[in-house]
Amino acid sequence: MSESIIQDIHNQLNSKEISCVQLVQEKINALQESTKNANNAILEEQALKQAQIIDEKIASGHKLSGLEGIPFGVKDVYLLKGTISTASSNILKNYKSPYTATAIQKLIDSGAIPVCKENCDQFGHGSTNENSVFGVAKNAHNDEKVAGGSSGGSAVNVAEENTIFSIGGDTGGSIRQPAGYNKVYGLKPTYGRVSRYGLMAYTSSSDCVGPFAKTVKDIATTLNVMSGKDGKDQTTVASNKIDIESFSSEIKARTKVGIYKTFIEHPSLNSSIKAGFDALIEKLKAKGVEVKELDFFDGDTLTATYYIIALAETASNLSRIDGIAFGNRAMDKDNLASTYLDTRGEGFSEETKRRIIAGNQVLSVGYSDEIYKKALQVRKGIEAKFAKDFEEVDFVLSPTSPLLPPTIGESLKDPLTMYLSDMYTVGFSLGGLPTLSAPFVVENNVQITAAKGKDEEILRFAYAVEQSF
Amino acid sequence: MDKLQQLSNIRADEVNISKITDFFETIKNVKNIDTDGAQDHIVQSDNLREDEVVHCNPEEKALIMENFPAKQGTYLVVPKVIQ
Repeated sequence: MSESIIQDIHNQLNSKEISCVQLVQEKINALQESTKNANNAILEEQALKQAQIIDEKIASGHKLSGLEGIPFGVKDVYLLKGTISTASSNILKNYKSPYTATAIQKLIDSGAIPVCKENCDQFGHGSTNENSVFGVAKNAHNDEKVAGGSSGGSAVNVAEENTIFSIGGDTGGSIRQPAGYNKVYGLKPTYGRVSRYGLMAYTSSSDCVGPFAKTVKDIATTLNVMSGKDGKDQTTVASNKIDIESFSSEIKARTKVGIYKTFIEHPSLNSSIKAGFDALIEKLKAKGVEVKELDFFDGDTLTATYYIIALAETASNLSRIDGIAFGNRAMDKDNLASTYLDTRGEGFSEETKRRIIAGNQVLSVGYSDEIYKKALQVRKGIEAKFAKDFEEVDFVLSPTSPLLPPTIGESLKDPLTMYLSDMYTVGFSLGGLPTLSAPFVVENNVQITAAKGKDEEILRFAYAVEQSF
Repeated sequence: MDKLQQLSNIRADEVNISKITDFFETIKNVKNIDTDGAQDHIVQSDNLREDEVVHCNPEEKALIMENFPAKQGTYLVVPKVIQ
């Protein structure tokens, strides 16, 4: 495997082995012929125009760098000016983006070429990509299994190499879990490192923009382009550019890794995932890594805390989608209340309605103090525990998911199992921590997590492991 | 109609939220929460940008108008409320 597919493509384009138009056309053909249902729209005309401009630059002697000429995918919850942005919903099935999300605009400004809008769970509500009006996205390695979610289509496109990288969104694991199910890298950066402006909000306090790719260096390259403060997102923070050229293939001496006993001893953990995780830990020990077992909150508490907060925020965020200024409106000219009720009743899926209704219950009198505010307090406790843990270790390692990818249709019968499948990812989201889902040894990937702002340290460690094994 | 459906502005035949409300019991039973050392990772309220007027560009305005669900000529049609 190459260290950087982006660099390989630049070498091919700069040497005129292929043209950018050929490259983009090849990817578009592959996207159109794919049977995985990973895309809601393919942006053929715009992409080929941009590719033509790149070819003209090459012809004039320009040497490509950064992300110039690189085809990429965009989860269909990001606004991309002039394209339909549906969030995989009926209510926004005809919604045309009036502007472009900051993160996507930065990628375009660096020369990257968006080629598709990718299938996902509706408004990020799901872990299997089955909650989509476009139908389920199929796993890249097994047509009978789900792609994972909510950013399922993005993970599948990268796994199939139909995009060089894709941009997903991660609120409680929506990049890391599908990355695991499809065996590619997926990064949830530190909360605030990448602007959320132009991302349709699910849970604003933990929504993160992040990349999928097939190599650590390609993850780092895309992260460098997207990162930075944005006046349009008050939660963004400044960050240093990652020095990719100085990545070492040796694991840093005296690296300390923590593992959460409550995770690896949980009865739901699949035995083959556990065996792979144990094998990875032994390999790391053999490389001189110190491993320490740590106590942590149990999976049920983490899942409950996350969902209570997420439901409350999504009920609030999606209240703006009512068919008045945009979205498909179910008009009752004699009754405003009916217009709202029918527009949202017909426009949202069952799972999205479940989350909005439960979210409003969480926020209502009698539940707000006892449930919502208690969940916020537990979140503080989780953040405090992380602060202490990362004084003792450099990274926490854990499986990405306790379960193997479910068969298509299974999770629809039992949403609770789907919610509990997020137990290893949601805690790190509540803490706002950077976490990489990496295809090392463990089936469904391993998560590598560090303290806030330590995205670069994670990628350095992952690169060394990638090169070592 | 169910009160929660009214609160949510959603008409639905049946939406089962019982699996989610099971989480409520879990959270009620969490004891001894140690929040010492927690840092707020959301907005820093001492670092706000200045307000500024930004005019909508014509292309963006046209797209916003195009998204409006109901129009009659150049008029935007909204549900009427008179009290």
